[in-house]
Amino acid sequence: MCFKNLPVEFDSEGRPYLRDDVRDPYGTERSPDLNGGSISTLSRDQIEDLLARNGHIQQKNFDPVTRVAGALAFHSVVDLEERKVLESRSVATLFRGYEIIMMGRDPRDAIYITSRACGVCGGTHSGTAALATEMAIGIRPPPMGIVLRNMLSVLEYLLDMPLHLFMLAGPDFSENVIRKTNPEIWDLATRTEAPHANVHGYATMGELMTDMNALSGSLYLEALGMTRVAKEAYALIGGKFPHPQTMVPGGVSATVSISTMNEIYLRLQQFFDYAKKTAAIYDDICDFFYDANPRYRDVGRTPANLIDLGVWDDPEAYDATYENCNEWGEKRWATPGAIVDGKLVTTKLQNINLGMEEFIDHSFYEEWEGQAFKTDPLGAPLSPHHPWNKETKPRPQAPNWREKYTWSTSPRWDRMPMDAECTARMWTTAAAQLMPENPYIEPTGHSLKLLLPAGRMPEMELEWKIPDVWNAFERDRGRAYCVAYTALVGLNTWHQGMELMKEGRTDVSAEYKVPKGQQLGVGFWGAGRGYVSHHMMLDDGVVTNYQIITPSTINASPRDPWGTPGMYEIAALNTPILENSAADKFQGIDIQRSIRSFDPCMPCTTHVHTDQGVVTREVNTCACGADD
Amino acid sequence: MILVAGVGYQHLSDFSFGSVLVERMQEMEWPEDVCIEDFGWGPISILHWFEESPGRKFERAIFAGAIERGREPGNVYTYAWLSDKPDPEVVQERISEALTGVISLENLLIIAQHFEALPPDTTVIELEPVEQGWGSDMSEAGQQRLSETIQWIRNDVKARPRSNGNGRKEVRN
Repeated sequence: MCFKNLPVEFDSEGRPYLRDDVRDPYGTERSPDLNGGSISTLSRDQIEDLLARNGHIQQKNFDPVTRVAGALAFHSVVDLEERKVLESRSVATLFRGYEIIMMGRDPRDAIYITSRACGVCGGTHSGTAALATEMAIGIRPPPMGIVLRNMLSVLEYLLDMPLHLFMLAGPDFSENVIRKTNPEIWDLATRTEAPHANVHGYATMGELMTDMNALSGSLYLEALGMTRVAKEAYALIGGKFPHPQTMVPGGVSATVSISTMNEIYLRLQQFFDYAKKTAAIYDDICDFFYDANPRYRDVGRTPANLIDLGVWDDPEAYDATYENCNEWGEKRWATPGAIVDGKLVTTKLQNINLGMEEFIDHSFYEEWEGQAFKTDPLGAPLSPHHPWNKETKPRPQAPNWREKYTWSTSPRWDRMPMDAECTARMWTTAAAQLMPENPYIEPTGHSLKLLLPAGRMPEMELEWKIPDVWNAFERDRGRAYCVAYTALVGLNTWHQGMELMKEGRTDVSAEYKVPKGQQLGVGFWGAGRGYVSHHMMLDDGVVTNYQIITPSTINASPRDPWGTPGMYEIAALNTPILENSAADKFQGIDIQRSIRSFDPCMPCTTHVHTDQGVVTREVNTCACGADD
Repeated sequence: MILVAGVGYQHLSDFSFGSVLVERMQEMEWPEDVCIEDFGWGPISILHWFEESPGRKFERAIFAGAIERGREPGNVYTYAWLSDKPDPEVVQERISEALTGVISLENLLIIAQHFEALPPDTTVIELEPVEQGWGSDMSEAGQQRLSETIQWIRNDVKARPRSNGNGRKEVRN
């Protein structure tokens, strides 16, 4: 069964329909079944009562950002005696408003305007806008255009992942941080042999952690260099990074020759060895922490509910139509899917689309009236909260924990909070076993086997296994393996491009006209960190609604109409405080690891209330302040 | 070579001071040893740019942009960038912002300084912004400062003697 909470069922031919025995089918009176993943939270009154009865914990008002750039603030109340998190709130502090900027514009502007929604994954937004535009105005890009777009995404992810793994999250596992927050673990690390020393070259975990140090560790500096390699390759097609100049509706406008392809390969192949090392490092880090203290399995733990739209189209299958989206979606190198409680419940893009709703009960927006579309273009039921029906009506106001406290909305799929992750795309692909046959990547149903070619290191087969617990460490481990997965999709894509060149099929874009009348489009795609969708409505060639959902909107979401927290908030609430520093030196490292594991794409600040006052840390940075 | 770089976002009124400045300067005649660049990019990308020629050739640099520091709005401030190593915690904080897409003159200077990418003789020009909202129009004071700043730069690159040699160390990667 695909949906447990939405009253949508399927007829004998698999077509979705709305049950007619449910009054107010999209009303919010009934609490959803969270598949055993319900989260017990204290009410704001209970928190305030607790704070009042424990006079040493102060209730303070504070500026949610420490610096101008802080776009995300994270608040928690921590009981240091019980070593647990009592309350957590995720706050997006900036209104960006791309949906409003897009209103009344030519749809072709979307590619260049929405690219600016992110300073890392601008190319993803460009590409997703191109997909939405193609569906709305009916353009099918030629195969080479699709291949080159796939390659752009590969290269963007290969920039994003190393910087997360070694420049943002990596320092959380470095000598400088662990010495201060958990000296007993550092002591153990210096005495523990690294199981994959033959791959990464570090004899002990201590040596490995020393090279994870921010600014000075060789793994940090190497990642800085690898981001450049990916950027150089990206610019060969995109013209520039992070906002490509060559993305157009119907393909790309870049001229690509054999020489360009070789230039790209020279850079892509550098990631094969890098991927081997990265996976080995994160395997050793995760397993070392689990062995050191099994309770690390609870750091950042959330229900295994993940969602992904898939990415990297089959150049012969993608036709940009909603009518065929289930077919071309399932032919992607990464299979679309929704995972609920660890189980894959659908791989159909239409079902993922139907199940998505966006709520604003705790967000700085006004409700919209009416419902523009009762059904999708195939006649399947759409919620009034669906992005095609949503309107963006900002209403700035002071944050109030009981009411509205963030600019992020609450996207929910089948009324459940979901995790948007690059690991989600490996999970769905591994479980579905639908990906096209190829020499390098094999989904087994419970794992992905990844055959990395020889470079300076010999050929090596890695195997990412679907984890039995979903937590901060597995998010980081998954992202490490995703370097290999992405690089191998890049290799497959490169072969496809060379084959098309050999056949003389070198057209990179299709001609088109913007039609009159009303059209709907949606771009189903993903950033390095996961799920990205753009929903577009056109009227006589003008944008009349535009809605963007990013992975950080999903992960950083506030509580929903039923009081269920978003994924950052759940991850922090489930995190045990294992930090072993003195109370007056408390850093909140466990909470930081849990939030950072989501790869938040915003500069983010954490505020942790303890009985020693408020600890404020930049969560997107390493915790190198811990070594003060 | 002397590098003159403007840093900022486009279409952000006075915060576009650096971008508009280099746009105007690029339309003018300058001595051959003056290189004018738009640095409205992420600081990490600029760090990578510095690793490459012509970055290695620069003996001097002038960076311009708008920064809000609570000074008299509409005034321009110039100063020599300090050569002390920045606090590592601050560097990592700024790198984090840079990696997540923030374009900032100060972040660029701090990051480039940490990685020893700046020429030894680096001057900063800052406009204290008057208008800070969206839009292509700068404030009247901001526009006036543009012309004055261009003249100041012209005088500066003419008047100040070149230092001998570069002196910067290579950027590690």
